[in-house]
Amino acid sequence: MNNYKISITLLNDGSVDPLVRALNVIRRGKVNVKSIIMSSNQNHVNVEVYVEGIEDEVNWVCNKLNKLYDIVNVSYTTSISIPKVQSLQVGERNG
Amino acid sequence: MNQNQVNQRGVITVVRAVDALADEIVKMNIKEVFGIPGGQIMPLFDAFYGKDAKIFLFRHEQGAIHAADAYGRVTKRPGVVMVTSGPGATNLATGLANAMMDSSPLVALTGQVPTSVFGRDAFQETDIVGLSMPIVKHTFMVKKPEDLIPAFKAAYRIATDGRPGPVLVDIPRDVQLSEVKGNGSGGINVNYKGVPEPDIGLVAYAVKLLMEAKRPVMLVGGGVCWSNSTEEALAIAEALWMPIVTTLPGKNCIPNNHPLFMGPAGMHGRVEADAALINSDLVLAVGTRFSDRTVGDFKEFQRGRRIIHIDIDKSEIGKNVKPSVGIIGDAKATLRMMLELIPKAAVKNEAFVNWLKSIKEAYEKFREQDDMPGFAPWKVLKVVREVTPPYAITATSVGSHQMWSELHWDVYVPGTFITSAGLGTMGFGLPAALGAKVAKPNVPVIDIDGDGSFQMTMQNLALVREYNLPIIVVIFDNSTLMLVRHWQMLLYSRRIIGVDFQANPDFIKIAEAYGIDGVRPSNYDELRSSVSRAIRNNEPLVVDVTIDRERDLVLPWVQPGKWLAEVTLPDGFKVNLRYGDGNE
Ligand SMILES: Cc1ncc(C[n+]2csc(CCOP(=O)(O)OP(=O)(O)O)c2C)c(N)n1
Ligand SMILES: [Mg+2]
Repeated sequence: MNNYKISITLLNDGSVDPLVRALNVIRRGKVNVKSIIMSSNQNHVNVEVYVEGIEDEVNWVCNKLNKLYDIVNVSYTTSISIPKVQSLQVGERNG
Repeated sequence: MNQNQVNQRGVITVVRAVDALADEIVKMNIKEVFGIPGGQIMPLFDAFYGKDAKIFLFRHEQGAIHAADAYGRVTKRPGVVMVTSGPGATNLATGLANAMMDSSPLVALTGQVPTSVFGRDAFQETDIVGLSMPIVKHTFMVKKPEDLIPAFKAAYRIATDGRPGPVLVDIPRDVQLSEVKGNGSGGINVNYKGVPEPDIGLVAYAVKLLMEAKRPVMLVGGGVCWSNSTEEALAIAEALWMPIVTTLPGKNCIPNNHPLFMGPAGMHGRVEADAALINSDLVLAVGTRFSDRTVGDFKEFQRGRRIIHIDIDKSEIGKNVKPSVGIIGDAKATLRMMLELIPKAAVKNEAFVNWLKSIKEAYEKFREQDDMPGFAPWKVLKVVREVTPPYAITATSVGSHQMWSELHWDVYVPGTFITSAGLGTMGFGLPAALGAKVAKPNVPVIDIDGDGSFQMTMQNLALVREYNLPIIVVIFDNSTLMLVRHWQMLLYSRRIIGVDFQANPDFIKIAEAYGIDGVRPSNYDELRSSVSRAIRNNEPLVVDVTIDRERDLVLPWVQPGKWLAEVTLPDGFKVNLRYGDGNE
């Protein structure tokens, strides 16, 4: 098991549908999702998904993502340290 | 662009988005659509009033979508289904998943509540886009009237772009009714995938491996039909005298009477096909996703044999089986390239094929001598096949009757065998047969059905008389959900529960209620004459074939997850599946 960062660029159609479609694919992959960072501009949505898993599976997830009709680009890189997730701290404070 | 029109009385009429769409659909030469109306899709139905396209009104939306699926398989153009929001749309779910699993192109148009009440739990509001996303190729939620035609056109194109599949277009009622202003397609932005060119270097390497192999076997999947590459597959097999085995959908792609055809392999496959794979040192797999049903045990499959995998879908390469070489591309283009590189005088291993044929003959002989009292499923199929023209289309439902068909129904013309392979959807057979008949009215269409499956969609029999769709339904009536019963017998120590029907309806009366002749033959001659008469007279028919459930065990059978060599053979049939044990 290694850590990977999957970088996804989606078309921005003004809805979250392209993002949900991508997340639906990741749901079915045998990877553990550690963190997701998302940003968008008028044309594109950029998503970074930090996962833990075997490379074969990460590759399969990327190939599946590549089939989506609102995907502009998908790639993955290895050995990325997972960023600390800010929202968890917020959750703790609220809880 | 102002699309307003002036009617006969000189009154300016507004062109609603749906009017423009219906016109476009007719212009695209889509002359048949399937569906059931309701409040939120009424505008679109209304737009078809007086148009040159026929709406086939089904009795359940699942029937409509299976018909569209089969229509797509037969014509290779997406079938179109139109339903209302809420229950109309949710009734499509099984059909969408079915089309996705079997790579069948269709476009589903669903009505949706007006945008003003989105998310407010309005009457018959269901988030069908959210619900269907994981089980379709793509979805569109049309928010502007200008986007309706671009969305439909994109959906239609996506359905057959690369690997075929279903696409859903959800259309709120207010959008349907709004006037189209301008020609906007701004909201519809799609990255089409197209078909990648096969890598010539990999193709050359694949041919090198193929030439080194002593017992290569070709595994044909449904992709061979979609790419129309039966001829190329046969040419390669013949050049190397390589046995051909198939998946269940692949059975539809090779004439089953070809001397190199060994039948489908796997869970409900033929022994000679299993024997071919077990003893192969190389498998050339074309247009298949390597289902667990075909291979059984993936690890064992990969042990000691090279695998060449050709598929149009990159995500299929290496998904279940790691190939020695994986080529992404259209099967036809790839096989053509391979063919160019195969030497004309390639070595042919005739002994291997002859050995496989001897297994086939031994199995056929065993079946012929096996005198099961009453109707034997394999013999029913044989008799019906004998009186059915080779070009007839056959649909099946799901269960033992389907597995018997996988084993014993000969497909002569590629593309004429329609079955729910990936999802295994009971109730697929009858509506699929109707969809096929709509697509090819002059071709006889047979539905091989189970009594359980038939009861899931039999209300659609109404379409037979409504639209003059004379199909023949052969029900394997064993008063049980046999395939599940089979597993209970062999995997759950005969603990039979929740499968037997104590009170099935009288299928003859059901047929008669729909104005269709029904027969319950008492012997093979009656079966033969009733089916051949119906075909000759182009009349619909329901045949209720009584089968003894205690004897309806569909064998050979490979247990789930087991390797093909562990196949359970029918009682009294013995065969050595190892080539080279002196038995060749
Ligand atoms: C919609 C659906 N529900 C349940 C199943 C599980 N299942 C697979 S085969 C089968 C039995 C089918 O019975 P029938 O249509 O009578 O065919 P038979 O096996 O008796 O030939 C069942 C229940 C299924 N495949 N599809
Ligand atoms: Mg049954």
